[in-house]
Amino acid sequence: MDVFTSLVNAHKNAPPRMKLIDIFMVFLVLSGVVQFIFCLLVGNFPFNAFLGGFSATVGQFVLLAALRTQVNPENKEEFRKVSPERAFCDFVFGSLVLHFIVYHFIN
Amino acid sequence: MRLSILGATLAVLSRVVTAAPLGERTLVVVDSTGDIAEVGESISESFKSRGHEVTVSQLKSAPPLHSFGERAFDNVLIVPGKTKGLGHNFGAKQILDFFNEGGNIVALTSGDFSPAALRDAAAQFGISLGPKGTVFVDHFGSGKIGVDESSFRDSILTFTGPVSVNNSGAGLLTGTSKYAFPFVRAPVTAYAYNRLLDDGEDSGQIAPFVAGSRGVLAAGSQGRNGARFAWIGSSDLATSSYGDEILQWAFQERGVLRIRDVKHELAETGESSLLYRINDKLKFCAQIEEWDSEKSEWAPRQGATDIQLEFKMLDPYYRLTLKEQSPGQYCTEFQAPDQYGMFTFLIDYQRLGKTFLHSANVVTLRPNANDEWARSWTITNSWVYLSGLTTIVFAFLIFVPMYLALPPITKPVGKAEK
Repeated sequence: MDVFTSLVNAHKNAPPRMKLIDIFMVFLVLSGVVQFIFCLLVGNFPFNAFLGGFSATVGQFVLLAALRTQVNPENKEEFRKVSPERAFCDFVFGSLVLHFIVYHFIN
Repeated sequence: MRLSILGATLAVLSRVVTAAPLGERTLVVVDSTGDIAEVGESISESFKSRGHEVTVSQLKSAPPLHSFGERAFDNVLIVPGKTKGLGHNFGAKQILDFFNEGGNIVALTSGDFSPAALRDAAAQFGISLGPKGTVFVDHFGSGKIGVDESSFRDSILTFTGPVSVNNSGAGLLTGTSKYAFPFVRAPVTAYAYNRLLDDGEDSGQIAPFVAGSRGVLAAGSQGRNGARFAWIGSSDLATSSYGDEILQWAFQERGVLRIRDVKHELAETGESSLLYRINDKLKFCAQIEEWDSEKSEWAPRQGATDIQLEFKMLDPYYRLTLKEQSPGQYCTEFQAPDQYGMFTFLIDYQRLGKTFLHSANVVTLRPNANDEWARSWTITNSWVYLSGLTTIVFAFLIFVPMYLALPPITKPVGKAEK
């Protein structure tokens, strides 16, 4: 079974909250790819803006991936001390910090 | 205001007294042993009538060019005679010292009267004069020597007609000085003939001193200090109206320029400063004036298309031709380079026969201050990244309530399938 079909299966079998996370992650990948291609084609002139926009997609993606891992019941043994509620709060806090920093970096 | 009144008063005063703006103490040294002595006297009369303070003196009793180490005269005309030397007051060294201190010199020679001191001095200006006895001969022109109009790039002299010249001393430009230029070239059919070397037998064997249009009948040179030297090789030429114009040029009545009212400012606001910002739009203007000896006043120099401005820091970042905006006022506009440092507005205008103009003004170009850079939303490229960030924030704001609204995850993932 190759990587792509395993990803699709994992998504199909996931509960609704994780499906929502997956959709958000796909959107972030698309957004990041669009910005990167634009930068390749047009040039990196406001380089800070490119860095900000692109790293916002990457950062948000990483935060979502962390959330998805922590709320997955399969990983309960590894995250004994982290409840799903705690994981979600971490995610919201991390995202707010990320948005704040990127907003100021883009200027 | 007070300055302008003073300037106007000075202008009125100077209109009364002077024909030459840079000094009118003129010495005419004449050696009465030669038959061109009266030429010197007639020339001195014409300069007297134009307001020069003329001292006519015999060579033997002539005052020295310097008194107590200072230049005693502004202009000197030397008319030699049969006497071989010019005496210790008028050696080549004294003449060159006088020139280096800003004095103007005219040497009038002819085939017979060509003393070594004048030849040595002229050689220092890149003008080589033929030895004693050398005259131009033109078997085709019946003694007429034409004036070559094309020998001037600019109209310092206005006279253009043919002029008949007898017994002309021969000269040529040696090319050692880039400041020397001819006033009158010899016709192509002329050659220099030396009467003293001709023994009547093998005269065809002697190579002429100069032949064809390489020969010159009158030539000039202007030093970097603005002093002028002119040599006129013939008394016929000197007394013609053409010779008169050469003398006026040499004594700083013609081709005298000055630069004033040099200003630089921001093109948009007209604000002048010594501190500009990189990429500012700058405007530069200068007033160029030429001395009008007939009216004895400075008149705007009009129609010049070759005056250039350099904006330089070590190297020129710009070299721009100035355009005439109003009579005599030459301006240009440009955008300052994207490079901070000390820059010079430089005008270095050197044209043969005109006063050399030099004007340098140093200004500072500063970099952008911290709050002077463009904001991201004014740059269209960054709109893509800005909208990327905005959609992420909105998606996050929608994601949070939806996530909370959906049922919590209870059962292990994938267990139902397996």
